[in-house]
Amino acid sequence: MLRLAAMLGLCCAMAGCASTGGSGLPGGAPGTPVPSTPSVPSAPPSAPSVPSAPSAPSAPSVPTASLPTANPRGDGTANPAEGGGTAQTPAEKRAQVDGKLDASLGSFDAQLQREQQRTAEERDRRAADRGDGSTGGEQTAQNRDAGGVIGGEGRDRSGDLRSEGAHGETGTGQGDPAGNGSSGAVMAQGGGGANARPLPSGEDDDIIARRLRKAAEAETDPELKEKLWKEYRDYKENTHGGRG
Amino acid sequence: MRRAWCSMLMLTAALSGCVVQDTRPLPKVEAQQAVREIPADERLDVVVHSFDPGIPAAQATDEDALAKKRIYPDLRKAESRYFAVMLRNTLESSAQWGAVRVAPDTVQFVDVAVSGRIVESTGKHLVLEVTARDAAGRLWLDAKRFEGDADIGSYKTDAALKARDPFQNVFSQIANELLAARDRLTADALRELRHVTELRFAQDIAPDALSGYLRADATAKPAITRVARLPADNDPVAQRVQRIRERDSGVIDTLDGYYTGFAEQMQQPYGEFRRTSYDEIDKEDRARSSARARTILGVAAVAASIFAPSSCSGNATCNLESAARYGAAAGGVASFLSGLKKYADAKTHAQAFSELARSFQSEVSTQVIEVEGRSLKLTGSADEQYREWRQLLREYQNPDAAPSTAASPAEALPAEAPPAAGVP
Repeated sequence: MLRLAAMLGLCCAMAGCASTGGSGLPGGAPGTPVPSTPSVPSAPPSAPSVPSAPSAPSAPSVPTASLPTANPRGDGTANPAEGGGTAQTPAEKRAQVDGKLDASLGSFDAQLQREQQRTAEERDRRAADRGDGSTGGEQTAQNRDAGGVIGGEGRDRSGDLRSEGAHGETGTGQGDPAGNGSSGAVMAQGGGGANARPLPSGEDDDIIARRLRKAAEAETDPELKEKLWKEYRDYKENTHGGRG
Repeated sequence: MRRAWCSMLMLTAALSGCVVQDTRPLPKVEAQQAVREIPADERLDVVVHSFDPGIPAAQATDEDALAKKRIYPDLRKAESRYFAVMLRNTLESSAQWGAVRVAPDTVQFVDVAVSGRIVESTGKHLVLEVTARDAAGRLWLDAKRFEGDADIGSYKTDAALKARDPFQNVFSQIANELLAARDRLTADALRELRHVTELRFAQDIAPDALSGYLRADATAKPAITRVARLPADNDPVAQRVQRIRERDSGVIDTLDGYYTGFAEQMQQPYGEFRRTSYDEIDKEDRARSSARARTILGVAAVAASIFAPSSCSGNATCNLESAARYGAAAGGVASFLSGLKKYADAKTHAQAFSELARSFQSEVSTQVIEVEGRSLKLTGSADEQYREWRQLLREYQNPDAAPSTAASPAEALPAEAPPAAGVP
């Protein structure tokens, strides 16, 4: 009799467990986001991967889309070994924003460079059509004196293209969370391909350096432009030890 | 009688004197060149905005009324950009400034912004009103008027036309006035001005992080903006703003390239148009002047023949006087008719100029539309980028407050970051 009573009690207890398991405790249906509770040891309170967990205030904005659709552990808790959906420190978030900014700046640089290239090509074509053969560097003394002539053959580009440095920057500036690699003297950078040495700032240029710099900036032929920049860098290194 | 003849002779001489005009080449005015190296932190960047075409609003749609004033709207629109490029070239060639660029008036963050209005522009005469203001709010030039006649030396040959603009003197005067205004500022003020421009840009891009670095100085008349303090060299937001500003310079450079290309395209046909229009306007002016002189002279001669008091005393003198009266009347009528013919000639020249201008403006209007279209496209795209960058900087400054995608560091970012759409 006692045995029968014990068996009945066990059955009741088991039935009770089954019903509570279906009501959302760990071990529920896979794929259903289950809020973890502090009482579940496998889901520490600081685990930020579960968006609706009230115990994860440090990451309140994690969208549900980033959640795994099926928890391989099947217990509704986060797996600390997984990278996806982990908490981000402010530094990580900043690095992420930096990455976005770099990508955006790079993309915009490419757009600008395309536009400038297109404009330069149009100007070269027009110069060729005119048959004057001058695509930028040549300027008569008379024109220079007048200061009022237009275009490649007449324009003194003493103001230089300030944005050129920006185009050369993306290769070196990315991935530096502090943003140090591309600030400051970048304004003075110019031209250069992916493997170009950093360009010294033009602030302490003497007359020869200024002329080289101007010629490089005014040149539209990329190959010749690169050579002029090389000349300029070499000259600066020889005269100032590369300072600037 | 003798006195009357004398006065008629003097009148004739005076009127014929009106017709003669001096058309020697003008003395050349040059923009003052820099004689010393200007330190980089004192070299001001200048943006010349496209000029206001100066089309009277009341007559904007009345083409005939505008044509009478020698205003052709599409031609003026082309000139408004062309003159900006001319002024840019003049400023740049003086080596007194930093980067000098032409850009639309939406470009704001620059050390000195120059704008202008075309008051009169023909191949013969140019009148411009120029306003210049610096980033601190000082008014350098307040709609100051600059004008000049065309230097006919530039019209003599194609090479001369290419070498020097016929109105270069006007642009040189403007450049010299701007230089005089700049020279009134101390070196400290110039350096501060450069910082003010940078900080105004920084405030616009990262208002949360970089506001408070500027202050209004009400003690100055008029009030100007001054630097209150500078961000630290290693301020991460300021460093990122600096990188964005380089892109802003890139946008301005690209816009400047558009305008330069436009002006290059326009230079030769516009030079020829101006040379031909100079001839037509000159002929018209001469014909009008001559017509006026002849009609006045004719009327005066006829009037004298009728109203001059008789002073004959004998038969012979009376006959002589009568012959003189008939002669004067006939000469007067002939002169008057000749004057009318000259008016007709003047009208023909005016029509020729009008045809020329209409033909040229139809040629150049498509180029104006093209350059404006490209400028708008680029500035629109840049505006979108600035909005995104502002948002990113806000997220950078407040990483906890900003929405995050919760991507793990292992997850690669997309090559092209999506716009921050949906981000509050």
